[in-house]
Amino acid sequence: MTAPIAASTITGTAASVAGEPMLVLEEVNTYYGQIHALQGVDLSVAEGEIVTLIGANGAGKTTTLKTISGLLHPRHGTVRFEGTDVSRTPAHLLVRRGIGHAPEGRRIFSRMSVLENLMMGAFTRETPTIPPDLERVMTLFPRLRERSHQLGGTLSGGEQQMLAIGRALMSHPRLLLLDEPSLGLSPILVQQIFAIIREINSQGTTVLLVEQNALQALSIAHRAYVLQTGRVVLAGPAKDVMSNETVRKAYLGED
Amino acid sequence: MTAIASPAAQPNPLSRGIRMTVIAVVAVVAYMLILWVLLFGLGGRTVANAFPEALQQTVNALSIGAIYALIALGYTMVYGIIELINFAHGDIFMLGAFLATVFIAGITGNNDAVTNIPLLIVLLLGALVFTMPIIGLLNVGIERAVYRPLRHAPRLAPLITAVGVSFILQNVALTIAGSGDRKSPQIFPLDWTIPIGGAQVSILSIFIFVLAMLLMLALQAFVSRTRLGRAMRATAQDQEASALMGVDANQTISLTFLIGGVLAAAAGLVWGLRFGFVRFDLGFNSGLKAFTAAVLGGIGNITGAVIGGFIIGFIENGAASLGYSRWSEFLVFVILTLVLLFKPTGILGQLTGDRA
Amino acid sequence: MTKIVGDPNYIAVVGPVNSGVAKAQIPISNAAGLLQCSPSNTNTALTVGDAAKALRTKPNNYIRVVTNDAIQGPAAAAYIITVLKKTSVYIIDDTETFGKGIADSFEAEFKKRGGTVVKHDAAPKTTQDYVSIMTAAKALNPQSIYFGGVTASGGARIALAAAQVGLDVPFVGPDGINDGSGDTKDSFLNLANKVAKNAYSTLAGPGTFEGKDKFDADYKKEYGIDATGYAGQGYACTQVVLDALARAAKTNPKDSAALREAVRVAGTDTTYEYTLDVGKVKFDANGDTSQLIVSIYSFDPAAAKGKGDWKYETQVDAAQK
Ligand SMILES: Nc1ncnc2c1ncn2[C@@H]1O[C@H](COP(=O)(O)OP(=O)(O)OP(=O)(O)O)[C@@H](O)[C@H]1O
Ligand SMILES: [Mg+2]
Repeated sequence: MTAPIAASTITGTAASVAGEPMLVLEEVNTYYGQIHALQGVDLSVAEGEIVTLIGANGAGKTTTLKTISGLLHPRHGTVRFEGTDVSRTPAHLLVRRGIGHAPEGRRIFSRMSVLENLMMGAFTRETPTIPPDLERVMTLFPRLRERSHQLGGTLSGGEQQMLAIGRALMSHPRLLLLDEPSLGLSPILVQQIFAIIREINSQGTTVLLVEQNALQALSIAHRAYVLQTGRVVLAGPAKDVMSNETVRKAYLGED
Repeated sequence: MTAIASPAAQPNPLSRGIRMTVIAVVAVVAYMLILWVLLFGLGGRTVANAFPEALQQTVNALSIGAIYALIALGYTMVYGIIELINFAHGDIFMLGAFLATVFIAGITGNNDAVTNIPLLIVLLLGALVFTMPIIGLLNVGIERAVYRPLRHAPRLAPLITAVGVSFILQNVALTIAGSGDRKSPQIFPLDWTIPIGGAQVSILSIFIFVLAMLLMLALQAFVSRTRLGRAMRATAQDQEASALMGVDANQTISLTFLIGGVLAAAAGLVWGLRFGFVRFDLGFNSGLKAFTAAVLGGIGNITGAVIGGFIIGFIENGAASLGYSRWSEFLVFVILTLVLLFKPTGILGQLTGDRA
Repeated sequence: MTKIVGDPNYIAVVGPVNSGVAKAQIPISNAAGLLQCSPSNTNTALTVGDAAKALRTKPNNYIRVVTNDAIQGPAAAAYIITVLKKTSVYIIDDTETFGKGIADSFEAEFKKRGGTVVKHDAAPKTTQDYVSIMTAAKALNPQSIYFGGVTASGGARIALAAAQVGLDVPFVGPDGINDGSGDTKDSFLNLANKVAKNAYSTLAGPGTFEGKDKFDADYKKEYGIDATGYAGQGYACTQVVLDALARAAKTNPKDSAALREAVRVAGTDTTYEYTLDVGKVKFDANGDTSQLIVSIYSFDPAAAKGKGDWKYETQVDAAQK
């Protein structure tokens, strides 16, 4: 499936400074009031990669993604995106810079139609670019085409997840943050979602993927980070992480 | 697949609009007929002369209802987006009424009706163009200066602050204009009427209703069909998710206060034209009723606020028609209580968000 | 008032203007035995009945030179029927003590004189939409309107709404709307100027008396404003106090407390006949005047340099019934 994507926007602007990866987190410390959720996270994502972030409940995965997309700001440390320090940049401006975030829990606009949700995803885009983008998303998720006039809140869980991903794609992100896209989906749908993530990546979008479904995530990712109570405890190529003893025990359900 | 690529707001928005219109027309006609029956049943009128009276009162109800609806929109939109009951909104309306009065009195210099139609149109448009942006921006300024710093404070803080702002605005008006009724020039000729069904329907009533409807339809179109309107609805539903779409919440909230202020200013202008006076405490009662209208319709819901405004107008008018004016406020609150008892989220039901 | 009674230099008070204020003041001044003469309080309950008794713990100290609303309301009814020759009326009051009270006494008299009350409605001062109320009034086809209340509680708003719905009949109200010319800020005539051509108001005292022209001229010269409303009654109260003081002085009171009491006794003496600017007057045991005169005013659009003012028409003397 090669949907008509505006290739220029994806390839033309991803110039990284002095060979630095697209996204770099250095010593990132994020707090919720007194709660020290991220305790010095170092992480990077290079252009074109799929990188996965795994870890137990409460490890700080969602917090990491929110810190990247600007919903949260680190108290210490920096987030650099394409060479620029974006640690203090608010979320609504980061979308324009090319970061798309499909948040945990889908967070679709339940009292808007599917089409309106997708239009919201394209909020920062010029009007003429919207129809081809809609076409691209609907080709990726034919279900959304069928349901385009249905209210978001009345979609099934899986459809909502498709909508959340599709909506994030509508902003034409160069970096797509996905927070547990497979949560609550049937095994077949999980397969489909992962296939689509690969597809999106092959069309030129860099992906940072947070997953509970570690085996699946590791199988499509190039590299992986393991997070534990706000710290990166393991990093490396996905294959190596997958074969790590501790990881197999803790996250892949082996003993 | 170009068909789906053209964005539409709601499933079959047209048929929904037609259905709403039909319901509204039926409700208005039903009110008129019921009033007709009550007038000769309870009010001691004859069957024949009760009809023109019922018609006349229905027109009256539509104009006062339109005024409440315009004010109620400001309450409901602000609540919808930041969950603040903006107690000062009634006073924004009051300042709008004052400003329109000052503008018209300043230009005409007297209290006379203007019978030259082009001149009247220019004056009315001038008053709208003058007051709407000023009051709208005042409302935006208040949000910037007072509510925004409290955005993340406990819920009670902005609420109490809004009460404080209400007092401040009232006292500003009190200091400048004094405590009595201030005369508002009734430039719209009150003797312009058209005979319908034996009644003399005042053209001013029709003007007020039509102006309010045009503003409300414009708002509806803006909110349901434009990019910014969609952003407003999105922010009302989920501020964080909207930010991830690139929506600047502060800007959207400012826009909401702007629209609320603009509509209140229009309500203020027509208020002065119809009742011929303004007073510093005008916003208190009108505001309370408009707020009730918003709650009645389902706070946060734009259509609900309009429906609620008209319902309050009809209740008040019904009481006045049958000679129970002193009970009208009581009745308004009894009905509010009943609705909330059986439908806590108001007539249209959603607590926040759905603004279409 | 508490401050005044505490200062022995005060031997009497002229005032207050409003009945509501009097209700609060009388218990204090009564306890201190301080003579109070009001030029304009018309509320019946200040002097008559249990409500009046409840205000007083000591012998009476309060008198007033105007008559009360039990006289003022009926006088308007008499005027509408006998002079304006209107036999039906629509009554609306503002639901407050004064407005409702005077409207009720008006209604009773209007009916007693054979008139028809098409409706007695009431709208609190917070009412928004008077147009609907007047639409209902018009449908009842009254020949006149009586308003019980004051300008601030809706007087002008009702007159404007009545005109708007084309209810073009005499609009009559009490002293509460006789509050200055079209030039006076906040006044009935200022607000309702355009529609006041058929408006009438009453004052609970004589509208004319011997030497009124000279009084008006002197007043204007002294204060630079027109003598409106109860200005003549204000002067009458001053005369009462001075007269009482002169008589009290003859008793040679030993100190200021005794003087205050002597003034009170002299002032409230029910047998003494005062000669005041408004005429010869006695006060009864309640403090009410023997002069039961209510004057009627109509609207004169040419007065007050074209801004319009109340013009004295006639007076109704309930004592000569
Ligand atoms: N809004 C908040 N206020 C306070 N603490 C929070 C908040 N959100 C998250 N936390 C805390 O921060 C820590 C990290 O939370 P986070 O949501 O990032 O975990 P996670 O790795 O995404 O977990 P899960 O797999 O369950 O989604 C947790 O201990 C959590 O309790
Ligand atoms: Mg999480």
